[in-house]
Amino acid sequence: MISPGTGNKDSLDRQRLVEDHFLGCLSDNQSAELETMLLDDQALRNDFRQAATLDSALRDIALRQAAESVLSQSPSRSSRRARFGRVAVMAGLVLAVVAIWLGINRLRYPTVAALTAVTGDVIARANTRILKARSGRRLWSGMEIEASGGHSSAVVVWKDGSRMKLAGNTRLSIAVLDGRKRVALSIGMIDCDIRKQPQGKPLIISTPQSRLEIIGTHFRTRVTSSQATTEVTQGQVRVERVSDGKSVMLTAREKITVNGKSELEKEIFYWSDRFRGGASGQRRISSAIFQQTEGFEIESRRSNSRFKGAERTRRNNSAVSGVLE
Amino acid sequence: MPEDRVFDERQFLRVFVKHEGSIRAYGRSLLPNWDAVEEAMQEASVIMWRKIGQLQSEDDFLPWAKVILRYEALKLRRKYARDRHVFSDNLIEMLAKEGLEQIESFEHRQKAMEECLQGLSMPHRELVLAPYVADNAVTEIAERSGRTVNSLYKLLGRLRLKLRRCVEERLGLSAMEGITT
Repeated sequence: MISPGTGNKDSLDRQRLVEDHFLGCLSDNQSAELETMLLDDQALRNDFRQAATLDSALRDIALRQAAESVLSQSPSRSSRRARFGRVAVMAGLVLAVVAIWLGINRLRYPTVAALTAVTGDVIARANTRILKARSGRRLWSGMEIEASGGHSSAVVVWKDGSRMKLAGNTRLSIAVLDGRKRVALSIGMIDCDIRKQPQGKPLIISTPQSRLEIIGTHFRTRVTSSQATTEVTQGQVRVERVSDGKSVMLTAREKITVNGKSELEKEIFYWSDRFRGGASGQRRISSAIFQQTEGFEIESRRSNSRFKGAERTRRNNSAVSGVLE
Repeated sequence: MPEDRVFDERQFLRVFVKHEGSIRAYGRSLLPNWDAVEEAMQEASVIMWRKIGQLQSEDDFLPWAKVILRYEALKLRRKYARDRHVFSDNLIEMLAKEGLEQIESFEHRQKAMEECLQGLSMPHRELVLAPYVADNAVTEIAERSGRTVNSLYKLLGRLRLKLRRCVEERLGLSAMEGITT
């Protein structure tokens, strides 16, 4: 029960904090302050639960009125009120049926991942159905995701927190069999950050040219019609050539290109997605991928300029300093 | 499909619809926003359906459903804890345990709330319901009325407190008139 009257200022302030919580208006500090009060005051906790119930009641009323305004044909207020009860019951039943249907659907097709950060033209396919690929869409075993066009991208987030970013013009399918994640990358590029996988159940990524086993790592793999290139920045990835079964183990800063023709040779690379100049006033260049050969050369995606590294400083495999030619 | 179920699909649907408001309100007391509540409700409803065989009578449904939702809420809480301050497990457990013991009727509170809303002016009613209509509904009202968003949220807080008092008074009156709660 709310403290009667407005004489008790402290009680009123507490009640307002409670209401602001349900309005989503509290700062982190205020939320922490409310928590301290709630821990010590059972009466306030009772008020808090009442406020939650009333918040829920207000929401139900707001949603019903929104549904009613869509369904109602008559501009007359009295005829709208006459239908209010029937619409409310119907809306409640529809919501319940949808909730049950969604629940049963989830049992049949358990969620294995979710799609996030969808930009551009991205679709998801389940059997022959094409589904809208919006951020938050749940994914189940057997689904295919395609990002069309160079401007499109999406991130697949698995239930264990592992992430795969699809670049543009990329198509892959996902599956979970016997607790093991499997990905078939048909074409395009994915950038992966994979949590440590269960013992004996590495994540498998198949491309037309190669098969990767991932235990827990950060890597990128790119597939074209003729070859698959894999670059590892952290952890280990075993890459197997599909044509003859030959394999290599890549560790951090190693890459390999599999094309069915040449020997499987590992190369060393440095991979930075943000390139910073050093203290001597060197220019900052962003989004650079570079490969060490005799010295090293860097191609900047953005500026189309080339420069040679004169001095290297590496922090967490992510920063290199150099001089622009 | 659960085996040896006392409840078939239709009965489950009926009892779920009957108590959905109470379950959802219980979830709201444990989770920081409605997105989290809806997510927990979805997961919990799947589990309820899967475990419906545990239930022997309809009277057990509400406390049983709340326990399932409490478990899902605690799991979800950890996801939101990364972004901002959320209540500790200790407080959530306290609210959850005390909420299980609460047996008030959600329907009666909702009916009282509808009656109390009628006591507000139309602009105040619109403002009170605005946060549930769309994310920027309060901002739109502020722009239309020439007031700041901050002042509207302060007014919103006062109106909600007023509604809470009104609902308590109506429920108190109803109890006095012999209507069970």
